[in-house]
Amino acid sequence: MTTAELISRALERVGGLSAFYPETEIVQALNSAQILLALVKPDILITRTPVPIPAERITHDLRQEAPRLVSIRRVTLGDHSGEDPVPTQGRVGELRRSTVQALKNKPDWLERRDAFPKKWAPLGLYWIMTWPPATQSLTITLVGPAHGTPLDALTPNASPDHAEIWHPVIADVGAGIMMMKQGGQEVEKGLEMIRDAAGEVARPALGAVRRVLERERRVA
Amino acid sequence: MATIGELLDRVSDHLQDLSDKGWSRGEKRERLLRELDSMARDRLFAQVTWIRAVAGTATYTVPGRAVGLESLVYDERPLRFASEETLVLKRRDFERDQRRPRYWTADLQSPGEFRVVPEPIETGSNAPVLPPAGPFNLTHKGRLNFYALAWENPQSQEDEGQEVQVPDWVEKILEFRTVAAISGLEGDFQDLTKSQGFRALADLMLEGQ
Repeated sequence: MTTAELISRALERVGGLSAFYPETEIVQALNSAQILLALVKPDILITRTPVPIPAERITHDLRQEAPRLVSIRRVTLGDHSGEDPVPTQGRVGELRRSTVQALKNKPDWLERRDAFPKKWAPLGLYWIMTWPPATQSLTITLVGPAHGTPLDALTPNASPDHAEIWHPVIADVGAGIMMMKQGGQEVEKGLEMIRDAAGEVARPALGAVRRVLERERRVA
Repeated sequence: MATIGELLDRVSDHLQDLSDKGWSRGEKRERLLRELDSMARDRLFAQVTWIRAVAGTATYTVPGRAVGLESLVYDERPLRFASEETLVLKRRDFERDQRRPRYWTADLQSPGEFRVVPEPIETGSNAPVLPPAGPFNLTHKGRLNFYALAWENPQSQEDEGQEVQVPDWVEKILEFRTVAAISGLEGDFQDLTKSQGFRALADLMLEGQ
């Protein structure tokens, strides 16, 4: 589906009120849907992002290098973004996942050096640490779920990065988010739409909203 | 990355308050920055920062908007965290010790401050090392500074033209949390259902990370 088709579908799902939902807002909702889906259904879009790491550097800020990556499943040596992996300094291989605390507990955690890092650890939402510090510049590949390239009303023929089968889901989740802006009972309907499209992951959110609605009915 | 102003426009849209009649622009901006502070306090945003070591000075302030320290490095070696109690047990007058720093503590210090023990006897280079570089491969004087792995609020400037210093997907969580916070406020425009719904979505997204 193209961006224009997604916009039409989302608008249709909320009752076709184009005056109430301008196009820019619908596109925002579709982009919100892409991000929400990346976080609650992480298997639908996996990316492999090569990241250069300079020698002696152990902390890496991913805001510029991998801004669409929402979490990391694997870190490997070399460039694995293409059909065949390209070794880095003659090596490919997996780095083992660890934690910052576990790395800090090693007695030689900053004194030790190696030609290649052996472990990696997440550091907050968008930094990672590789250990031990490598004595040479390398390339690593971060593999993990990502959100799609943001859609834009100015490019109506562009399609989301996801497989075609997920395009209606993006539109329906976007419609659910749009419906929530009306407040009150429409929030419940919006969340039901998100749950129907994205599956039972949205059930706790729906449960929380239903409890509030029930309390309000009792008070009224 | 969107600007603070663009993020506020999206929040206003969710609130159905584009003309800022329900809540003022300033109120919305304050709430958004408060939510960012709240996320920062949960230690979600890391930063590597450089602090110049001064001979004879034991207490330092972490620059920027740090909410806590994870680790400190001096002369390519990590300083060990120690409580005030441990330091006193090692040496009752530890404040008077002057050698190469080995420990750091935040106990009994002002917020955002830390103390190194012993205090350094040499002043480090004043040439800043911009993150994420450091603390290795530097000159002798360059190594005699502190490199802190810290948790911070990444937003150093708060006017509406500034970009929000987090990736798009974190912006979205912040957007939903702000909508939840504002729509839950007491007043004529309170909408608890909307507040609960957006809060639940934001929590769902953060858990999924």
